[in-house]
Amino acid sequence: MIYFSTLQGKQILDLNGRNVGSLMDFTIAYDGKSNAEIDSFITRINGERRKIPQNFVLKFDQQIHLNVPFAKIPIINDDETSLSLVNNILDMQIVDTEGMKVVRVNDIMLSVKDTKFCVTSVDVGFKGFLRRLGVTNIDSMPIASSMKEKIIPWEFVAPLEIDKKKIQLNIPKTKLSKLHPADLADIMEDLSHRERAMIFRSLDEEFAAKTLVEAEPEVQKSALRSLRPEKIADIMEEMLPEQAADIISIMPKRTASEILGLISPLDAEDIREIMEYGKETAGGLMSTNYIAISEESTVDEVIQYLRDISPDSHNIYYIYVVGKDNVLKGVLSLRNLIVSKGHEIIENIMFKNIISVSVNAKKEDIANLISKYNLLALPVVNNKGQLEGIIRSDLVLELVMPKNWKTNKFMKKKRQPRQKEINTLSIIKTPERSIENIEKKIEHKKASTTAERKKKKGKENKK
Amino acid sequence: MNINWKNVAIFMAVIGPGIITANVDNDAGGITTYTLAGANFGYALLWSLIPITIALMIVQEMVARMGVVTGKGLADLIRENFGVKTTFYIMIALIIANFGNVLAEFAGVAAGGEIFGISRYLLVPVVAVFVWFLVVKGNYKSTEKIFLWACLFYLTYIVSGFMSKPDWTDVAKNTILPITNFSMAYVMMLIGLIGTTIAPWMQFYLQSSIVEKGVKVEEYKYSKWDVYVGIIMTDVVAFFIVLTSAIIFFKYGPNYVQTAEQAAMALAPLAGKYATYIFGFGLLNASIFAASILPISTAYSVCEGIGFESGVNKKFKEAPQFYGLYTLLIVLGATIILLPGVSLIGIMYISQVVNGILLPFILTYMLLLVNKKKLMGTYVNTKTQNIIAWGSVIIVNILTVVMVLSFIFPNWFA
Repeated sequence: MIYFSTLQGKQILDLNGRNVGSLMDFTIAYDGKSNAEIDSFITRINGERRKIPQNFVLKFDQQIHLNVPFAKIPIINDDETSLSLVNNILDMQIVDTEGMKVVRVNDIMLSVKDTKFCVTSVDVGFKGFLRRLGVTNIDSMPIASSMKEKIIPWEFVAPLEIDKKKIQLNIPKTKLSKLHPADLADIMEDLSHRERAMIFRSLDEEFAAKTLVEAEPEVQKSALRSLRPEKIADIMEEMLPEQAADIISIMPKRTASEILGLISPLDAEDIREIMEYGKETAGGLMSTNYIAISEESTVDEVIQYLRDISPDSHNIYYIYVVGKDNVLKGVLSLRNLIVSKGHEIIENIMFKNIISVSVNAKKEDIANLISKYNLLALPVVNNKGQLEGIIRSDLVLELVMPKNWKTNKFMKKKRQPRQKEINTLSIIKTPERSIENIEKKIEHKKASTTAERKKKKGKENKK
Repeated sequence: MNINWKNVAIFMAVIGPGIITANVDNDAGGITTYTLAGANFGYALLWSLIPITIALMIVQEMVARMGVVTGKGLADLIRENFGVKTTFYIMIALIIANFGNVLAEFAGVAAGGEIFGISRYLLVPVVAVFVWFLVVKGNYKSTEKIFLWACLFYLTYIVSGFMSKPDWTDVAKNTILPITNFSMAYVMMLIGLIGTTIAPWMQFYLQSSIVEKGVKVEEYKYSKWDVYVGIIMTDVVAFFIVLTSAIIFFKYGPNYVQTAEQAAMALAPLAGKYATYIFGFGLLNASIFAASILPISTAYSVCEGIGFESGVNKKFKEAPQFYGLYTLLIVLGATIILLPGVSLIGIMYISQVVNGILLPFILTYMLLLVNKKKLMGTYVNTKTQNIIAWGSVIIVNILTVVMVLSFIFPNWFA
């Protein structure tokens, strides 16, 4: 294992021992592997920056020995289109995707096998800084014991300083997208405006959207200020309308209308609808992303429809049933859909005693209903009884927290190490049981007379 | 007259860094140096304020431009472009110069307090603790506005200057025609004037403020106005401090002004017997304001350059070097001032001379950065800017050498 700082400046000799130049830099292959292979050496020959490919190295001891005479060294000028250690890593800031921070690289560690060099990790600790200064026997100094080594393996290093116009990365997604969006949003808080913009530009729009939604208002404003309107519109098209509506509401009016104009008309329409309602009412909080079916359709038709649209995992638990003019008539659980016979009409198997809120309902009422009935989602209807949207239960926590909880100074966040595969499904209760619970509760209350209890028993025997 | 309100809105959004930096420039060290310049040399140094102001405009504009174009702080740029060794030496220089300034601020607190009859042993620790908490735990941003408004106090110098009815032709002559005097005291004062007006901490602080504001390249021209207006405000005040001090004190011979109470008399034409209180108030405000900015700015810059975690939103455990350096600067600064036999005015003046000596060193690297095409693209310096800036570096270096020589060989320059 060698330090890059000890390699810099080493003499490069050709096959005959003639001095070619001193080692200035390495270029590396950035392909997402855990070790980055060096693909060429950079040195200065006759005043020009030149690349010497890795396979021209014979051996390496106090100097770097090439396996060809000087005349046979290929003349490749360094056009700076590959990732280089000095330009992009050394002394630069990188994102530590494991510890989730932004740190500065003090030195780089390489492993040598035969003549192949590989970057294995970077040193971001103060010891590395002292070593670069030339302090040779650090470990013998008294303060050395208090200084911990801070080494980050290369697979967790995400460089920030990459000029995308010049450097082509051969992996489509950066290492940053392996992070959970909420963690990336956290890291963004520590970055400058420019670095935030750099990161947003390097992410694909879907990931950028998830990150932007999770970010603190300050980070959001910062990203919105530095990105081009077209890029912002693209990112917002990847969000749910109510999320986009939230973000638009923090923009200055002029920018907001400019961006709405750039978003595709359908999405923009959805967003505008949500923005018409007050932010704290059901209308402003609801999502227009739900599944609604006609009460006159059959079970087979519905199942086929679901197959056709392939809904997201969080949409499929409650299927809302509407009549003419989109009036909410009932709700159907996935369980009931599956156990019923294919020719059954939805109207006969759906649950009719549906709990819903008006578009103008306040957030306190929404939270109360959701927690009282253990609902996964609450349908929102207008004064004509027409279904306008739904409010998902994972919103309830945000509804009941005090207004500025995200930026509250006293809730100083503790950095959590990266969670492995947060499985959101495991947090939510099985939906079928919730509907059955309500059905049971209400039927139990109703069944006060023996006659009705008998009826119920009869029904159960039928099934 | 058609006012383009959109432009006004942008201007109001980017304004701040330039004006704040400029006002903090007139801190305890500044007030003292300008006062002594007038008291000990009369009008003889007035001419220097014009070239110094021009140089300051060029230097600060460069720094603001770097902040806008690169989006990074000065320490960040130095580290990324010149590596570890250079960064290390510059950080050492910055700590020394800035510590000198911190000492000056606490000296100002002590001196200002004594005008009101408050013992320094009470006031200095109280202010140190107050400043520490204000910056780390408190709401610094709203207090900043109070500090700024209180800087209106400087207008008293301008009014005082007019009320004392100097011979304006004499003043004009001295403002335009330079006087060459190579006595060590004169050269040292010249370096002090340069150092207090173009202090190294200002460059780091201004660039960081601009980066934090997130000024975009398209908005840059408004930032330039913010910087220029701030500088003009400050240097007009500086001019009048020198002027009024010259009028009141020069007739008593050199080294007459030894205490802040005496220095306050420069405001006598305006304020009469209240001169000391107004001066005391202004000095306290300037000192506490600067004490809230300098130590924390130093901590940020050093951590930025070396790569330590920084930020007042982090806990002590997460950023120990940041908090450690910040606290050390304040504690050490306050403690030294409380030692017996310490000359407050002496500290306030010499710290600015140290600024002046270290300035060329930092300015050189700034010039190397601002001329790098790779970094600044089309926003590199123009020829004129380079001539003035490099010229300043050379001149200050020459002055420093002359000062040192005249200290070692006083007979050469008598």
